[in-house]
Amino acid sequence: MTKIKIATEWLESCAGCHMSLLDIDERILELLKYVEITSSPLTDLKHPPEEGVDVGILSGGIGNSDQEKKAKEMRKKCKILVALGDCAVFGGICNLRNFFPKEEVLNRGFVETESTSKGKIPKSEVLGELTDQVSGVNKVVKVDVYIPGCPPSADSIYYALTELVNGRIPVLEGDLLHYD
Amino acid sequence: MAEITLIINGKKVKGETEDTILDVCEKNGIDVPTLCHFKGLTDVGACRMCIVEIGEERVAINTACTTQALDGMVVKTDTERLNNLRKINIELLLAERNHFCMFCEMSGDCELQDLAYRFKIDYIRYPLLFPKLPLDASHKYIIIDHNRCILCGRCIRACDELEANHTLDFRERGWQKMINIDLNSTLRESTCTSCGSCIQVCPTGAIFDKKSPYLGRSEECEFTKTVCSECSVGCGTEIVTRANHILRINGNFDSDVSRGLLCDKGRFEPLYKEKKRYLKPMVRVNGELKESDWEEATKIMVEKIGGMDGKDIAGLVSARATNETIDLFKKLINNVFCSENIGMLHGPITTIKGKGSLNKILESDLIIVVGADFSKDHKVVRSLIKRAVVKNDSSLILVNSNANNLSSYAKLLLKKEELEKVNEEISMANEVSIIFGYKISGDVEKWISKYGGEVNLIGLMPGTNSLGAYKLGINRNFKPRKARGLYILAVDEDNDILENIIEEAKKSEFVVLQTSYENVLSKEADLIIPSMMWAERSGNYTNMEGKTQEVNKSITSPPEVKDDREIMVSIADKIGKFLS
Amino acid sequence: MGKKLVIEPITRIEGHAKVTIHIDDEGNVEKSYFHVNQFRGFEKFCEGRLYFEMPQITQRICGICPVSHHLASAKACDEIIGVEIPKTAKMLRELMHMGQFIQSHSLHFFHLASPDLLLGFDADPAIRNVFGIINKKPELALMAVKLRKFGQEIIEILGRKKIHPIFAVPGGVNGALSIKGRDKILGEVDYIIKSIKKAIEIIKDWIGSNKELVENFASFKSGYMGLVKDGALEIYDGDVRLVDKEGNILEEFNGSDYLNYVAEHVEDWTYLKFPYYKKMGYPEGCYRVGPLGRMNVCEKISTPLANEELKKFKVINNGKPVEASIYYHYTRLIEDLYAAEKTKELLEDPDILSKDIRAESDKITGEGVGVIEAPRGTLFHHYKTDENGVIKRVNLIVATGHNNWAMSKSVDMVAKQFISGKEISEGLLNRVEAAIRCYDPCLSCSTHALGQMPLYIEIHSSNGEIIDVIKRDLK
Repeated sequence: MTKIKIATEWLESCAGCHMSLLDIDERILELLKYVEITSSPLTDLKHPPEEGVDVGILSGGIGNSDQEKKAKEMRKKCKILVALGDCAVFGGICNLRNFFPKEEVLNRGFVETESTSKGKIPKSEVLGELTDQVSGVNKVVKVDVYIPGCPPSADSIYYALTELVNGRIPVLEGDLLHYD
Repeated sequence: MAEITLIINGKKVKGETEDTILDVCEKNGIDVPTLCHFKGLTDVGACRMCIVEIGEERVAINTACTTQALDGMVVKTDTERLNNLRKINIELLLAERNHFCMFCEMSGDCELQDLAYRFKIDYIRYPLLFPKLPLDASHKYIIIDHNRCILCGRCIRACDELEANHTLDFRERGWQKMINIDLNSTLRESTCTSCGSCIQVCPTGAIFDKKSPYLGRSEECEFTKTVCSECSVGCGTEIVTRANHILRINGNFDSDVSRGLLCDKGRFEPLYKEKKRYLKPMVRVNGELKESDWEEATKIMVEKIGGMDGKDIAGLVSARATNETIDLFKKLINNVFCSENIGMLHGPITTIKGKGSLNKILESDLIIVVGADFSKDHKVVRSLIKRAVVKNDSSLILVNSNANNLSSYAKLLLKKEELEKVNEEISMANEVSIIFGYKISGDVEKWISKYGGEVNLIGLMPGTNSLGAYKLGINRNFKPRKARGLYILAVDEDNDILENIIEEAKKSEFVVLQTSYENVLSKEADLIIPSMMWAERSGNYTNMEGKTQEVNKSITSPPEVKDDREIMVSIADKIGKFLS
Repeated sequence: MGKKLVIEPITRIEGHAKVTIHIDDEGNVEKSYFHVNQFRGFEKFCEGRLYFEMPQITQRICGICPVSHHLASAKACDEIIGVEIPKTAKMLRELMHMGQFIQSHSLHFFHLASPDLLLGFDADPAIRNVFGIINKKPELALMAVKLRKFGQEIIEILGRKKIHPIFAVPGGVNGALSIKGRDKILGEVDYIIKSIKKAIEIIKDWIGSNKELVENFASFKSGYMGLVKDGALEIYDGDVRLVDKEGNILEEFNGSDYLNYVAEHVEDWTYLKFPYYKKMGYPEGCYRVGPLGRMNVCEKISTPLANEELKKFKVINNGKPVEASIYYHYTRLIEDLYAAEKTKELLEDPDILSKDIRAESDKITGEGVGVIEAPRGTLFHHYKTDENGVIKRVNLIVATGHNNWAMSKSVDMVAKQFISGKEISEGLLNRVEAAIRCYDPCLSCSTHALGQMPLYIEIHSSNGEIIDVIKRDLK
């Protein structure tokens, strides 16, 4: 059987969803029989291969212009796009920023903070610009599978991946569906 | 009420004429999702979760909680159409406000979350609105976070229907609609009585207490039904514990005394008392209290008091002790120490006996409160009175009562000299409740005695289990006089009661203080015996109505703290007398 | 015509980062920059929430070391309510912290760093990852999985979840440890200690056979910072010790006074600030934190096996601070060993099972600072609240931040050492990543996220126009 190709990427996130993926522990060995992980923060490949992948997994929401670009790139390269974790699903904890104008947020971080000396707000062509609002990835790309959770449990992720390996769209319920 | 038959989900089921469709479903074990419904509060049909399809040819969709069940009705509760509508509803609720399950105190115990799981909502199809909403943490015990409010109105109904205080209500309409506190006040500055019912009925994390966030989800906690030990109402409580720590005190909606209601004294104050606990017996040596052990403590007890003449010994017991403890204490003083000098720590009270019931207050068209104070305790009685006035149009007459915020509910405010003015009112009324305090003067006693047989007569008691003590034969009038040996069974009694005894204790040669915590009598005590606190005790309390209710321990006492009864038995043993 | 190499994305600590390497007309590296390209704004958006929510909110800063944030935040909250937590509460918090050190340090060594060391810097990037290790050294991979699992399970046993647990609360913790839980962890701890000792042999062998590379790879003088208690390594409690580049103690202060000693510098080209020793100024006062920092700062370790290893480490530079960045890998494993030994020690104390787990208080002091050693370095959480406990101000100095200057410097040094504009190979650029990877800046970098380098190289004309892009995506 040909392995299904998976690419993963993280956006406005804490990396916890990818850590939860690793928490499937020994089951990763079983999974690797059916899955080829191409680009991912866990591998040395960064961009999904030109010919694309079967499943693209995004964790993290959209918080700056670079992340938007990356989400779009992943959408282009994958057949099924999975939003992994609360941040990807609806913006998650980073949504708390939406109650403040981004200028205030930046100002607090880089100018006002008590330990900051002669602060200024970083601005450079190499840095992505903060979006006005944080959002889930479905604000910029179409999502096929949602796996909420902060982070989703390893069981939820394993279940979803095995369903995808078997050509089914996973439906989470019971203990596998949780938002916290 | 007559029996009716409905067809729900294709099955014939029985109900009664007064039932709503939801009632019939509940009686027949048919699970209908609800959110704004709360047993014990009026149904309003706000959340639309309990929608059902009614009829066969022309199908109507209506809320089960507010639709009366009719004989022959055909109802469906679980169709795809209904479930789609319910799902849309939940998603809209989630999109409307700011729900962050990942750090919410109530995650795992949230009814909105449960429903979202039930309908397998893995994302929200509608744009999230992110309204900037306030969080009110001004109150000593209660937090209101409007971000998580779904406007179900349960808190408003609890405030109005249980506590009859109406501090909470809605303001504005549509998108702007919000829970409002008085005239847009903060909770601290509001008329809130801190009964905490709103916390208990809130289905989400919008209203919660300051003490228990993150301390445990229901599945990690233990729940013990017991009786409040703060006053003689005897409200039903449910103690929530984890790892032998008390997280929260809930009202018990199954209690036929309080029906879920509590006051701040019962719900919050026991968790806010910072006191020094005695974990070992203490003996006074050269004027200083020194840690000791049980062996030495009982030995000293026997040496010092055991040798005294019975008439020189007096025993005083707290009304927070259980019937079983008080009974044994009486036997210890009477039979082992051969003394008749036994009484309550709170001192003498009136000999007039109430024999009415609290529930009858709600049925009374005239309520007379004489010499009663609800400012510190018995606040649930005050709530019942308010409920009778506000909901049932009862008339209230206050006579010589510092009744906290009851005066605005009263038809008449009288001095005790004007008592006779009430007689005419009584003669006109159908059902009368007279509620009187425990320190009333002779002429008031005489006036009350006149109505003894005909009215619902309720006497407030100075302590939780005072009535239980009197029923066990403790003298209502007892006051200790110049006892050489004073044995005080204080358990976890409050200082304001213990203060009355200081002078007496000073005069005594030897004072034994059996207590959970350091208190105002510690300075006078020659021997301190550690006692269990309220949550560690088991037994029975008899409330002001004469109802005897079970007290169940919810946590285990520290290793060296013994049960009060066990202590007394070992003292008797040491003296060589049998105490059972 | 100068060139600018853009290495992107180097996902950063908690997100994305990139490196740009500016090359002059002669093909020499002029200057390299380490850009951190994410900013979420926790310092602002926590305002208006309640202090007791902070251990839950702030642990979402990082999914790799959430426990550090969780505990630093809880420590700040302890100060806000003005209590000393009971002994058992502290022991249980420490136990959870040990679990995290074991999972995080093991994860880094095996899943992230070892592909470089065991497969080689120049190995095919398509297999130079943890899955390559699984194929090539399955027993080692399984051991890695078990180490991480062991640490994660400690966290789960205490806090019901492996990532973002619910455990520490102001005044202590919310649950006691069951006998069953204790016995489960204790039953595995000896295997874990043995495994970590094996890993230490692996890294020591590797260092032994790559002596020259190790000594010359991003080796530079700097100050160091870490918590100590009576001079011994401490990761939960203790005072903050700062030493100078010769290892002399500059300061030893209570974490609550951090503002007197630490300040942060801001650059236009990165979202990560640069902390430095205030009295010395920027950049002279920059220091390094994390495993190498802690080993250079402490004199001893309280557990025997780790202390033996520390003695060997101290010999490397005759008792002076060890400077080469590769030694981070070695010191990380010494700490891993300490955490495993300490886990055992904590569990063998009968007090760990006590239910005396929370100190209560109704006070709100209005301010609290929580300092802890996260796997990657010293972590500061500082909150101010109003009289109701509503958060008014938040200041955070995260572990990886302290190493920002050091990472930038390492990138620059390695780029200058290995890269010339004329011939750029993937393997050479991988060494630039490897320099960052030493510091284990919360997974992303160290995950080889920047492994396949350069993702593309933009060649700019002197006036900034892109005149060529070299792409190196894998087939």
